[in-house]
Amino acid sequence: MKVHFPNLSIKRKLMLITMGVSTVASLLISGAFATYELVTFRQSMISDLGSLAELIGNQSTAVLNFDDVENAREILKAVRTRPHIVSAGIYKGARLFASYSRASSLRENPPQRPEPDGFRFEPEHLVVFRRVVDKSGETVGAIYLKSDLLEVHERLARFTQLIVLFMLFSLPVTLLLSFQLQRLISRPLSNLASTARAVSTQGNYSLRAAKHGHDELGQLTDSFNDMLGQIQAQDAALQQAQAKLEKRVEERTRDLQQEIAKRQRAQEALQQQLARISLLNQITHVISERQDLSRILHAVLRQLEDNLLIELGIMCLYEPETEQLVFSAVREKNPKQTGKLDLASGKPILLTQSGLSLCKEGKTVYLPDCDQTQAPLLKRLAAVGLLCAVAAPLTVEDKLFGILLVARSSRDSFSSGECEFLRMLSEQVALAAHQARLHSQLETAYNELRQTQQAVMQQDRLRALGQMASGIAHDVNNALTPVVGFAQMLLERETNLTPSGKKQLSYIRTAGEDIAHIVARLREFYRRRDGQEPLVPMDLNKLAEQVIDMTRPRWRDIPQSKGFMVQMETELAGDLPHVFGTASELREALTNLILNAVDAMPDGGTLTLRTYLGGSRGHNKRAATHVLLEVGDTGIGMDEETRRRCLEPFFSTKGQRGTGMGLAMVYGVMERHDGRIEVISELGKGTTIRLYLPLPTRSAPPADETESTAPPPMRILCIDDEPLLRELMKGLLESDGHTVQVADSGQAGIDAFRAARNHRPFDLIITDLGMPFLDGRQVARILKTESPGTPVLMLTGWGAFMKADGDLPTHVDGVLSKPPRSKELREALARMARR
Amino acid sequence: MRQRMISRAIAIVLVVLVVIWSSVAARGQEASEYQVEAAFLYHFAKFVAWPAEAFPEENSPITIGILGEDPFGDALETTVHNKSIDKHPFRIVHLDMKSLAEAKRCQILFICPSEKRRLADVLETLKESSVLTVSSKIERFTQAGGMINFFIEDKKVRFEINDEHARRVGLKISAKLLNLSRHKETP
Repeated sequence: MKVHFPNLSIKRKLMLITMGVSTVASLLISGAFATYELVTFRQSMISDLGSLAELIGNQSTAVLNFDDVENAREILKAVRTRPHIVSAGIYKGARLFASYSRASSLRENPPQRPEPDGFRFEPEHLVVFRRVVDKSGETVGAIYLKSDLLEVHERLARFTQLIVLFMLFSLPVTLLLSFQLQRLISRPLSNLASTARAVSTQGNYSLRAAKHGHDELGQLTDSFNDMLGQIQAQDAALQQAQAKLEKRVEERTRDLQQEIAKRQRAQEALQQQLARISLLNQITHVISERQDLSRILHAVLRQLEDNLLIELGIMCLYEPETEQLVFSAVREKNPKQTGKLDLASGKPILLTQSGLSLCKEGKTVYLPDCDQTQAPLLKRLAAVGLLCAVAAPLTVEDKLFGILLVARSSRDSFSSGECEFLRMLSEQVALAAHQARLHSQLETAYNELRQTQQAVMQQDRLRALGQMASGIAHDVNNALTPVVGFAQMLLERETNLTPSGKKQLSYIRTAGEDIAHIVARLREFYRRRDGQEPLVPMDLNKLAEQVIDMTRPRWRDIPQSKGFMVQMETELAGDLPHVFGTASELREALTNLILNAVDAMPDGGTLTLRTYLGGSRGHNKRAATHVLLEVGDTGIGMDEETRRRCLEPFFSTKGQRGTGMGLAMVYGVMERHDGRIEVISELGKGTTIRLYLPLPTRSAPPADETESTAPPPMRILCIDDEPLLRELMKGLLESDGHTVQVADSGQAGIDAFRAARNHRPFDLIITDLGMPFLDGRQVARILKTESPGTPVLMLTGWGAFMKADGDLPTHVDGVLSKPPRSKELREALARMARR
Repeated sequence: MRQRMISRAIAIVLVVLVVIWSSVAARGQEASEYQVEAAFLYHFAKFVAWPAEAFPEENSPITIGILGEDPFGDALETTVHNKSIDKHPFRIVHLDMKSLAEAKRCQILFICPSEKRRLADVLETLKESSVLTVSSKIERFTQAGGMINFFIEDKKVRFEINDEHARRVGLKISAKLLNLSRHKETP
C-alpha cells in the first residue's frame, strides 16, 4: 500500500519528521566523527610508523657503522611483532642493506633505492622513509617501512558497527520520545479536527473546541470557536427565518384547506339537504295517504330505514298521566341482532328512565354513544350494538305525545343535518299522527257515544230498577234489622238455647244478613267500596266449600234436569294460610265464576276448583306471595278478542241472559282486595280464571265473628222514629253496659241533648237518617254547632251507598248500615270512644 | 677559437671525472682490512662513553693512540679527518713502549700485533686507566685484559668485546656495539 506523505495524519507526519531529522543528524554526527577518527588515526599511524622507523634507525646505527648485515636482519626481525608492517628495509647509503617481508602475505620487497625522508599513502598502504643519523651527525643510511591500512579499515568497520548499534538503540528511544512529544501538537489539532467533524456531521454549532494553550494552536482554536459562534448565530437566524416562512406557508395552506373543506361541506350539506327535502316530501306524501296512526308510524319507519339507513327505528307514544312510553311501532333492519331488545312486547317504560326526558321540552336528543349513558333503554340499545341514537319528539301544541327514536351501530354517526331532518320529519309525523289520532279519537268518540247510548238505555233500566230496589231496600232493611238484631241478641244473651236452636238461630241471622247484602247488591254492580267494610282474615277453603254447597242446584240439579253432567272437582291445598278479605264479596265473586263456568259447558264437562299457594312467578311455595283460587272448566272457551274484553262492564256473550257485569264485578272485588285476576282460555278447550289474593304481611288470628271488643260504657242518645229499631238499639247497647236514652224524633233528640248537656252530657249521639220533619243530617248539624266535641253516628238503610259514594254528611263522624249488627255497632262505638 | 675553448673545457672536465672515478674505484678495491679496522676504530668512539674526567674540556679531543707499528698508513688519518663526536675532535698519537705512559692519556689505544709480546705490560700499565684497548689478531687478547679484538671471519672484519674489562675502568660500551661482538672461534 502506497501512502502519500501529504495524506498522512499530522501525528504520523510529526513522528516521521522527528525520526527523519534525528536519524539524519545522528548520521551526520557519526560521519563527522568517523572522518575525524580517520584523519587522526592516519596521523597517529604516520607518527607511529615514523617513531618505529626512528627506533629501528637508532638501533641500526651500529650495524650500519660496522656493516653487520646479520645483526641488521635481527633488528628488522623485531618488526614481526607489528602485524600490519608488510615490509621493511635498512639502507646503507643508497644500497639496500637488509630487508624484511611479512611472512603471511604476498611477499613484498623493499625498493632497491631509498627515497628521501617522508611518508606517502598508497591505496592500501602507508610507506615511510627515514634517514639514519649516527652520533657524529652523519647520515649512515635509511629505514624503510611499509604498513597496510587494515587497521584503519578495521577501525572504520568497528565504528560503523558502533553507529548501527547506536542507531538501533536510539531509534526506539526517538520513536518513543517523538510519540510522546508529538501529542503536544497533534492532540490540540486532532481535538480541533474532531470538533469540526462533529460540527459538520451533527450540524450542531453549539459545540466548542477545547483550548490547550496560548500558542498558535490556541489562537487557531479561539478563531475556530469564534467562527462556530458566528455560524451558530447565523444558523439560528436562518432557521428562525425558515420556521417563520414555513409557519406562514402552513397557515396559508391551512386557511386554504379550511376554505376548501368549508365549501365542500357546504356543497355536501346542500346536496344532503336536497335529498332530505325530497325524502321529507316523499314521507309526507306517504303518510298523508294514511289515516291510521300505526300504519303512518310504520310507513315512516320503513322510509327511514330505506333512505336514512337506520338500523333501528322506534315510535313511542307518550302517556302523560303515567309518564310512560309505549312502543307503538318498531322497525328492525336486522331482527336477529336487535330482536333481543324485545321491544315489540309493548311493555311501557317510564320517560324518566328512558334517558329521553329532554324530548318533553320539545328538544331533539342526540346520543352519540349510548353506552356512556345511564338510562336503561339506551343501555339495552348499546347492549345489542346500537351505539348512536337520535330521539326526536313528536309534539302537538307544545305537548309531547310521542318520540321517534332511530339508532345506528357506529358511534356518532348522525350528522347535524340528519338530526335536523329528523326534527323536521318528527314535526311532520307529529302533525300527521295528531291528525290520525284526532281521526281515531273521533271514531272512538263516535263508538263510545254509541255504546254510551246503549249503556244509558240499560242504565235507565237499571236506574228504574235501582230506584225501586232502593225503596224496597230501605223497607226491607228496616224490616230486617230487628230480625238480625234480635237473632244476634238471642245468640249472645240466651244461654239456655239448645245447640240445634242456636244453630238454626245463626242460620236465621246469616240469611238475614245475606238478604241485606242481596238488597245492597242490587245497586252494587259497578260501585266501588272504600275500606269501610274491613278485610278480615278468612279461610278460602271454607269459603269455597260454602259456595260449592250454595251453588249446588246450578251445577248439579239444573244440568241434570237438562240431561248433561257437570263434574265438580276440588283441589284444595291443605295448609292454606288465611287471607284478608270480605267474605260476602269473595263468595259472590266465586259464585259468579262457578255460574259462568257452568254456562260455558252447555254439553257438560268438568269444573275444577283449586286453591294453592303461589306467586306471580310460578307456583313455588317458598317464594309464594299470593293465595290462588282457580276455577277451570272444559267448556267452549273464549277467542282472543273475548278474552281481552271479558272484564269490561256490559260485555257479555250470553246475550239477553247476562248483564255483562259478572266478571266486571269479580274484577272490582279483586281490585278491592289488592289482588288480581288472570284469564287463561283457549277456544274449544275451556277457560281457567285465576284469582290472586295477597298473603297477609302481618299474621293475624282469624277473628271470631261472635266476639268483638267491647267499648267502655258511655251515655248514648239514640234517635229513631221507628220504635222497633229504637228498642233493638237500646237492647244492643245496654247489653254492652252503655246508658241509653232514646228519642222518637229529631226535635225530641235535640231537646234531650240540650237538657242533659249541663249536668250529664251524652258521650255519643246515634241518629237515624231518614226521619220526618227534621232528618238525621239536620239533627247532626245542630248538635255539632252546639257541641262540636260530641261524636255523631248515623244509622241508615242507605249507609252502604253513602259510604261508597264518599259523601259522608258533613257533621257526621260515622255511618252505620241498617240493620245494625252488634259487631259493627261495637266497632263503631269503639272508634268513637277512641276519638 | 671559442669552440676550441669549449672542447678544451669539456676535455678537462672529462679528465677530472675520469680521475675522480678512478681514485674512488681504486679506494674501493683497496678497502683492505686495515682500512676497515681504521673505520671501526673511529666508529667505536660513537658507541663508547668515557668518564667525564676523560675530557677536561668540552672540546677536548678524543685521542686515539697507536701502539707499535702503525698498520693503517694514512687510512686512520683520512677517516677521522675533520670528524668529531659530540664536539670532540680526533687526535691520533703514535706510541711505543717508551712512551707507554702516554697511553694512559689516550681514549682509544690500538695495540698493534707487533706489540703482542709486550701485551701484559701494556695492559698492566693501563689497568687503572679508562682507555678503550683495541687490538687486531692478537690471540686471547680479551681474556688477557684487552677490550676489543679484531679478527677475520668469512673475509669480513669481526671483533670480540670484553665488556667486563671496559666497565672496570668506567667505560660504558653501548649495547648496540656489544650486540655486534662475536666470539672468535679458536681453531
